[in-house]
Formats: sequence, structure tokens, C-alpha cells
Amino acid sequence: MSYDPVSTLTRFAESHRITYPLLSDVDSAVITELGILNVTLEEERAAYSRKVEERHRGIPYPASFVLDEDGILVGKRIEQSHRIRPTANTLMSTFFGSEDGEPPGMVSADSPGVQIAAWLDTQVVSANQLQHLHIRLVLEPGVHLYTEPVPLGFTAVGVELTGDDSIHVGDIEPLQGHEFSIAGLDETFFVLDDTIDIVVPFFLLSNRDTAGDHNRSLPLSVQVKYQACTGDECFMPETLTLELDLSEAPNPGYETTDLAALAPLVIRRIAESPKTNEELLGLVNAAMSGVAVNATELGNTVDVLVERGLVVATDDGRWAEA
Amino acid sequence: MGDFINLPIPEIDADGLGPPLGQRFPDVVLPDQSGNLVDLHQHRAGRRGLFIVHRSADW
Repeated sequence: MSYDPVSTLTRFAESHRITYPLLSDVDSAVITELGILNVTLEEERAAYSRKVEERHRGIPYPASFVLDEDGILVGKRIEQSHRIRPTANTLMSTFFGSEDGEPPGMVSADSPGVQIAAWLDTQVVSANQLQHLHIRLVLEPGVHLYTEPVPLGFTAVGVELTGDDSIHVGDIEPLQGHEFSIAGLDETFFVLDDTIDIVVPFFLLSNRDTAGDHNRSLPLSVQVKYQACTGDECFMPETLTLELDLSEAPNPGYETTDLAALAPLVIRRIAESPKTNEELLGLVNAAMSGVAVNATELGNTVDVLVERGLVVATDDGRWAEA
Repeated sequence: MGDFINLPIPEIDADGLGPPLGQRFPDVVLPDQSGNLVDLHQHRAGRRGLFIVHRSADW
């Protein structure tokens, strides 16, 4: 559901061959009734030095609702903003768990008593899509791992990701161990056993410098650190490294015109005098030697320039050199 | 690599928004891309459903 008129949804459904219903809540009445109308839009736009345009009125917070067979709401996700939002794969794994069988691209490693598997919601990501790295440790019966806080000399389970600078990693939920004591030792330990699932949220920060470099490979390296023990003995602390394949999806918004071409044009034109969106679009298109630039592409470029502090909005709704 | 960037946008209580969990989702009856009225619950026909609310398809 969106607040688009039917005609917009018809075009969108045709161009993307969508057959499931796209609902038109053209006056945002249902969006309002559901309590997800974006009421912080002015502040949000202002934070990006942007003004609210007419097309933004009635915008919802991005929301996903899961209904059971009886229509009962059994799950929901509501996002702060459309800038960073989950993908279909992320929603599927959040709400319905992993599909049966091995997730595509899963990698594994093991050490005595411990098997580790790691996989991603999806192996192809676009900028600002919220994704998850899943790590599952399966322990043999009688084996446990330590979690924080650990007494000196023991190693708690830890995960570290290394990869491209554009990958931003979110907070990992702390692992909840249960209390455990060892005969002859005063300290209390917190341990994990059986199956341990760790979920690491991450997203690719939009990086228009590489926007033309489609299918960019972004290998991700995951180090999992732990110490496995049984009731009788402890193994040496381990650090296992798993390498995952990740790549950046081609961004259709930049297929025909990359930022390297658009940004200098925008800067040059507004340096002459502040311009409206429409004026800029006309001037940029006139200079693009027949390559059509649409309002979205131009808007994305201006967004980047604003974020980088090169362009500012004027009081009369134009763009000016910062 | 680093922490999540702190977006300079107002914080919302996202979990507090929208209909409450555990209750029947409100009726939604709206035209689809062909202009036909679709009743969300009727369309589910007793199946589970994923209902996504998105910004304009035209951006």
C-alpha cells in the first residue's frame, strides 16, 4: 500500500511485472487510521537541509505487518525513515525464519565440539538496505562456551566483521548465558550451550563515488572467537574466520548517468545562480548529450551533494552553492 | 567499518506505532493497480499475509 493514485501503481506494476495487489491509499486515510503517518517529516527533511515538497505529504513510516490465518497481527516492523529499510529477504527471515535447507552462500567451519555456520539475508545488497549476518554455533552435548562477563583467563564468545569501509555494522544483541560454577573455583561463569544464534545487522552506506562500479565485490570476513569447555576440560581459545561473498547490486538509478557526470554539472549550474529542481533538470538534460536524466536521478545527486555540504537549500526553495 | 551512523533525524518510538500486536488487523479496502477494490482480509482467504506500507512508487 502506498499513497499513490491508481495510475502510478498501474505503471509501477507493469514495469516491474508485479501481480500481487498494490493498494492505493491516495488520501493517506488508511495510513492515518493505522497510526503510521509520518508526523516528523518537517524535522526529518530539515535535518537534510531539505524542504517538504507536496509529493511528500501523507507519507507513512515504512511499515511491515504480518497477519496470521485469522487476520491477527502477529508481527510488525516500523522504520524511522525510508533511507534505511529492510529488504524482502530481511523481512522474510525476520518474520518467517530461514527457509528450509541450507541458506545460499552459507559457509561453515568447526573446531572440537563446535560447528559454526554463517550466512547473509542476501548476497547482493544495495546501499541503505538493512541486512543481517547470521552466525549459528552448534555445540556438541556437554560442551559450553562462555559469555560476558568472564573471569580473567577465559575467552567469551565474540564476533568481529571486517570488510569494505562502506559497510556499517550495527549493535549485536548481548548473548544471554546461564550461570555455571566450576568445583573448586569461586567465580561464577555465564555459559551458552546447545545452539547459539547471533544476528549482526549491517548496511552499505550509499557511496556514489562507486555508483558506476556495478556488481562491486564486497567480501566480508567474520571472525568468531570463543573458548569451548566441557565439565572436565577446556580447549584452547579459538578464532575461526569465515569468508562470505557479498556484492553491491547495480543501482538502476545510475544506469544511464553516473554521479561523476551529474555532480559537476549541478555544481556549475547552481554556481551561476540558485536554481529550482525544474530549472536544474532542464539545464542538466540540455548538457547531457541526449542521455535522459529523470527527476529521481537528479534528486539523488542533489541529496549526495547536500549530504557532503556542497549544496544548500535557499529560503525560496532553490538549490545554491554552499 | 564503524558503528551505525547517527542519522540526524528525529527519533520515533517505532514499536509504539501502528495497530497493537495480538489483535485483529483493521479492515483495509482500497483499489489496486487495476482499479479493482481489494479487501485485505478477503484477499488473504484464510492464509497468512504480509502487508507492506511504502512511500510513493514514483520516487
